[in-house]
Amino acid sequence: MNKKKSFMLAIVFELVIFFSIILFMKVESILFSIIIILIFTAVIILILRRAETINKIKTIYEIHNKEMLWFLLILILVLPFFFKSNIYIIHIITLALIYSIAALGLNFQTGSTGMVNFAQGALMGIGAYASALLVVNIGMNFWIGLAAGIIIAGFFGFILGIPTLKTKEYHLSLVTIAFAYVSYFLILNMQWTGGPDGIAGIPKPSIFGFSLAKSLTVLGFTIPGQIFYFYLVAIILIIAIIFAWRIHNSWLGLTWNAIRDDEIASRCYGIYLTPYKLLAFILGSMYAGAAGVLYAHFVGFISPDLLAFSGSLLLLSMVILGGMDNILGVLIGAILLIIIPEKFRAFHDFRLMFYGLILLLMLLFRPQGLFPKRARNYNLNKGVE
Amino acid sequence: MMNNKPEKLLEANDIVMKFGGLKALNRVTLHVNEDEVLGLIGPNGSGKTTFFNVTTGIYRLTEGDILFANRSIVGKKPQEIAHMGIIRTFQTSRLWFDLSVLDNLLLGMYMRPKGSFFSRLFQFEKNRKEIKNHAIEALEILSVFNKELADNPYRIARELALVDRRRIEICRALLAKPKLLLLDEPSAGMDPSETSELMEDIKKLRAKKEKLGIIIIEHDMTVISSIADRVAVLNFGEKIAQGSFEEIRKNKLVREAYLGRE
Repeated sequence: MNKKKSFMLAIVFELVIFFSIILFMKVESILFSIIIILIFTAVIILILRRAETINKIKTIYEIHNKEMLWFLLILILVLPFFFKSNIYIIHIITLALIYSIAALGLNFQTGSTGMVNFAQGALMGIGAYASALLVVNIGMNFWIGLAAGIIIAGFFGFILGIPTLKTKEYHLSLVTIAFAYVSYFLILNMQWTGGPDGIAGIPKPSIFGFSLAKSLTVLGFTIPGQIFYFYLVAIILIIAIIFAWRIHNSWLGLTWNAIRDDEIASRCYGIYLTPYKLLAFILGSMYAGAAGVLYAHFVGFISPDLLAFSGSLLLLSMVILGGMDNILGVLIGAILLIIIPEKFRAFHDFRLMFYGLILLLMLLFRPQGLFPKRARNYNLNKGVE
Repeated sequence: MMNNKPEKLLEANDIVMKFGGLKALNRVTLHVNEDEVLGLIGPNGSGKTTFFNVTTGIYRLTEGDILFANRSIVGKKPQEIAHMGIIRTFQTSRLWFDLSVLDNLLLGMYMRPKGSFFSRLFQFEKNRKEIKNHAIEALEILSVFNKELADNPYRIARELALVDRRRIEICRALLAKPKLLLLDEPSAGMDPSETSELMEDIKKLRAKKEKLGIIIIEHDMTVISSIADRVAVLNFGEKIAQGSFEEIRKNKLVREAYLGRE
């Protein structure tokens, strides 16, 4: 296959996915949504059945990975303009991106290091509360709130990390569950956190005196404020992805994987487990903190429910659905698990059942996730393999 | 007790390892010199692997002392001991099975890069170059071992055959640049031709690298006779003999341990 043709193919492939997502979002009727999901699933199953097709797609994207990333970026930037008349959809997409950040952080612990953490939702809540309290009660601006949220969540990640050091597997998960519940009840019962009423009136950030809450009229076009917040979240997500990708491809990511696979072998090759495990918790929690802050300022209201167990479960489902230790997989998992339930809002009561069902089906039929982890490629001699 | 003979690389003095009432090692005294291959043999359950676990810090010694390059290693963690230069392989090979061949080898070189924890994180390009150089070196060494393995460096370790797993494990151990290498039954589960191939590989590598002490646990006596300079025999946690392979072969106690009393 020549270069030009494969390039066109890659672009077409990306466009088809992009527009089918838009179509899916635009469709209002539940029946149509279900039909689209079924068609999607059928296509995915057909592709997964045939190894050669996957390999073809893989090689196309390996050849043009830089160009494709830029193209994807452009698509993301134009995405909100398809939904100018329907702000609700932009709202959902922004939410999906916020959760992607937290899921990427969870992937450090659960995907890379093999520590199944059930407290990511709680850490997200801690970040959200940190910023909301500073901004609403003390009158700090959003950026200080963001920094504080990240740092404070990172600190609590460190606190969570310490007792898990002595534990493994199920026991480690139990420690994280305990942590999640303790934080939930503390925030619920303390006075200065607003108790069960939560905190309301969290303002949208402003950049250079320009509030992201207001819509802007340029040359007769009205751009709703939500689009700007979407861009803010998208930029922070991209920074988060770049960092996650760098970590994955550095000694740090490799060492985390070594610890996940075999602790004794790792120790016998001189790897000190403690700093690496703690770092996985700290970095992952900082991601959660950032996501929490963005969530708080986006929705404008937070309550202890943000720290509830279901949030952590949702984040974990994203990582498992998308694929452990695969950045692309985690992102897709996060986006799917936010967007699909929103489409079926009429069945909102069955939401948790839906997550449970997805987890069950994935663990039964594809435990490695939609996009399983792949061996690192060091491009030793480009062209070969 | 002063012992200034520099050629002694590892010295175990009167070591005892108790598990509850069971003495897995009972007053064993052993040593291996720099650039020497010590064969460690004995029937099943005689304490050979326990000796490795004690030496690498996985178990903590009950009594006695182990000196490595004249420094005691008792009470040290496996990580510290690895940093001192003792690297082992495992009886049931312990690769990082979900990682590729190349990743396994790279992790063998984990202790090499200098620079602080955080500089590794933020100097990404430098980091990447370093990893790439390490990868090239790793594959060069692996291709000395086995060309075919080096040609497919992205295969996942779990997919490899037993022989190849051991090759990778030994290669990984050597990439850690040990001063003392502990090989725990490298030929277990292999057929004779695979075993002899592996022995050739080990000899090749020994010839390339100067000053490497090796302790090798083996059941296959052809292996021991072909590469061990000296042999020590354990039985029920006690050292019953040591000497050249010929001496051991004639030793009455050793024959009794393996074949029973006549």
